[in-house]
Amino acid sequence: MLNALDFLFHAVSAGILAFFLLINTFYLLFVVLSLVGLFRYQRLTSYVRMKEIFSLPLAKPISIIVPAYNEGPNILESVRSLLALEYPLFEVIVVNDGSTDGTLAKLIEAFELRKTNRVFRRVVESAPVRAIYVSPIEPKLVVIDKVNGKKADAMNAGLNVARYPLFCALDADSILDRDALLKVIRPFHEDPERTVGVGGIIRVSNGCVIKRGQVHRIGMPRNILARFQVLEYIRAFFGGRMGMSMMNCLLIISGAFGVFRKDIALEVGGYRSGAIGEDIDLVIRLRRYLHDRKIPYRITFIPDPVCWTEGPEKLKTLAGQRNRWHRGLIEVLMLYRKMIFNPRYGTTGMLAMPFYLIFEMMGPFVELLGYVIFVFFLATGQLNSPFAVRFFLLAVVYGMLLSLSALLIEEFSLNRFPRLSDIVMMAVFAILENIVYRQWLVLVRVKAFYDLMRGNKGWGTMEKKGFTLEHEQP
Amino acid sequence: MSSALPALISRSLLFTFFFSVALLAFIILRRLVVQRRDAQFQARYLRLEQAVLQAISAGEMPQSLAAALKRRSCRAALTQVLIDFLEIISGRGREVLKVIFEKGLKDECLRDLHSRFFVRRLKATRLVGLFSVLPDESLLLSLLKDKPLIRLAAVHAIAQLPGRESLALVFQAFEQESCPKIHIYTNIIFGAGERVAPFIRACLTKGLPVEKLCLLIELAGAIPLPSLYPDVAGYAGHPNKEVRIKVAKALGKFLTPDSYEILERMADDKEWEVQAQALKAIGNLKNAGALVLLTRGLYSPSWYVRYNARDGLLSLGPLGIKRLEEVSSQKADRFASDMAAMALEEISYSGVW
Repeated sequence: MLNALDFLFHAVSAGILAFFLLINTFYLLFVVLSLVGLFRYQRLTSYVRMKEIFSLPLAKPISIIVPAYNEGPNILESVRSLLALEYPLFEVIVVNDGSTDGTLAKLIEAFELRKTNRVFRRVVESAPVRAIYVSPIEPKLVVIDKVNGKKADAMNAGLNVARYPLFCALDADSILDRDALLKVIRPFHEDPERTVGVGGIIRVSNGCVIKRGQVHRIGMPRNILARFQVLEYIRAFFGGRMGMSMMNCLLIISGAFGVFRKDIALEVGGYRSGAIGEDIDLVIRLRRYLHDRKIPYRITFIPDPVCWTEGPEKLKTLAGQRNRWHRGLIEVLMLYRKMIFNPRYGTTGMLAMPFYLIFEMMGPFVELLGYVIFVFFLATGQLNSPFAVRFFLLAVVYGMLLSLSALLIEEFSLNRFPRLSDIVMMAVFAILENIVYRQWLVLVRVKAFYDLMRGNKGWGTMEKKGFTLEHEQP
Repeated sequence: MSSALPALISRSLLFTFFFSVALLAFIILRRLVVQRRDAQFQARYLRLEQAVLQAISAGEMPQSLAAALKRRSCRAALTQVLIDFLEIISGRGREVLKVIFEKGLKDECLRDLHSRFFVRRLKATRLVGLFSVLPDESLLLSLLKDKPLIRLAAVHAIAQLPGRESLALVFQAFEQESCPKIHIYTNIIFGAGERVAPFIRACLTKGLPVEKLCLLIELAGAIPLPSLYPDVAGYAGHPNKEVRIKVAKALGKFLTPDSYEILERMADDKEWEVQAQALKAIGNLKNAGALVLLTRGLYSPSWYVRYNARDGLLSLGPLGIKRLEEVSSQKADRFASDMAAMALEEISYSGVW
């Protein structure tokens, strides 16, 4: 009996090893593809004048939709930064999703908003709209005040009011680089028939200095949690997303910054109200819809336009955010399970969705199982200490290698950290994240699964500190 | 297995560790090199910027610039300075920039057009376009047969050159281009202005695919080329909805009074998209006779038709506003009333229509 149990544990251990090898090989593949993609993008855009799009007679206008729930600390800075974007024709639609912290009052006061009886097409369902405001001093700004209904619902309200053929989904705590729209719009001009969605890079703004609604100086945050997130974002965007985009199976265009064709988004019913991960949900539905109808399309990722967002600096807030992300992922994978391993959906069904299912959704359980087995062996005195130590070190070093590879890609990008000490700091954090932080994230994600099973579809609360403005820096 | 696995892990650990250390060292070293190179580039850039500025204001080449042109190390910085200046200045200053380019960079640029490296060829082709340097015809033709990106850069370059022949080449390339890529030609054709009218006219008679037809008609309106009115109007009854939309859009830009009758018919099209575009175009004509038609549009079941009808009424000035007031006060059709009220509210905020 004991032998059978021993055999089982050893078999599971071998399985965990294989899993570890496979997941890291995939990540490495994505990193290599990203590097190739970045080089290709950079060489193809050399000597291209983005501002030419300004003179483009048929430049497609964009509606920027910004759902805002209790975004008081950042909202004015964000909206001002959006209004100052370089683009021929756009509107900024801020959707106040039933905030209770005076977000709307701040907007009304700052932009002298007035109520309007604006007529709009109610194409997709959303919670009741209380009022629509326009600003006599900022004609591009429209503010929708509606009953709280979560982000997807707020996006739908914005979609109903949006006037232009493209819309940009943007978080209210985000800051876009001034020319980000000009850059992100390129695929829509180069391949207007096929391009359905384009995403840009999201980076953590903590530690950066904001001046006149723009990131003036890139810096490393002081907060340790924010530093881990800087590394995670670099790895996720310069590694995963770009690699997946290269294989035409990108599933996530971050809700913090993505541009989509409005007609197709409306055809699929807009955002799914109540979706926890509304961004991945929309992209998967777009892919399913277009595949089902055999419509050729592109959903792509551009490594250059940067959107800066504030990362949580408190453990509880970060846990809430990651819990929500993971619940969102599990929810869509369960909802669209028929697409998984379905060759009808091309690389989406055969590669991206299985990848997310096996490695992202199941990954935390496998990792937790590994820790449980480790503890079991340790408790029963069967632990092969040198092997366990070497395996742990290998996991740490492999993780560090992936982070360094992403950092290398970041080095080739235009928005790299200015100081050499920041790189060293990142390398140190690439090691440190494997101790405690990684294990903590595993627990958060396992708990997310448990929460979802219990029917928790909430968003939790996100505590915002606000951007560091130039006059506030020490 | 039990003995092989730990050994494998040990070897993997060693390899991954050394690889990671090497990668970190590479990143740091590269950063040091890049920082040094950037600092040098910046210093050269600032020096050359001053020199080019001096050349632009004096109209002659300063000694420092003449010397810099001979140094290979200065070429990247000089190219960047010239491109940056090209974006912000116009008129005689641009000619000075072109002279500097021809003296310092043209030869190398023309050499690079033959390079076997794709990026070098692409950059050179783009520079040729930016500074309107004419390579010989055989080279141009070879660029037009190159990879798509170089072909497009070459077309862009050709479009900058004066003369009918260059435009003929552009349109020849446009006709041969595959449909998904034709939108790249938008800026090229638009930038050439009224010179393209005969070429568009010729293309419109050639039975091009719908995508190309749509783009040309839309561009004819965007430039605008009212001389093409009869050619474009001929497509008002085209079976494809997209073509009819573009025709209505173009007619709205031509502002030819004769187009009113055609647009009136298009306002009754079976497709709401065509109706909406036709009403918008009618509004642009500012024809008081359209009052009834535009008012009818306000009662359309389509939101976009109502929206464009309201815009059309606003463009008629006091007459249209009076009609909007009447519609906003009626109770029979709430949708029409709301749209009219919204229009009136917007002008009360902005004070313009």
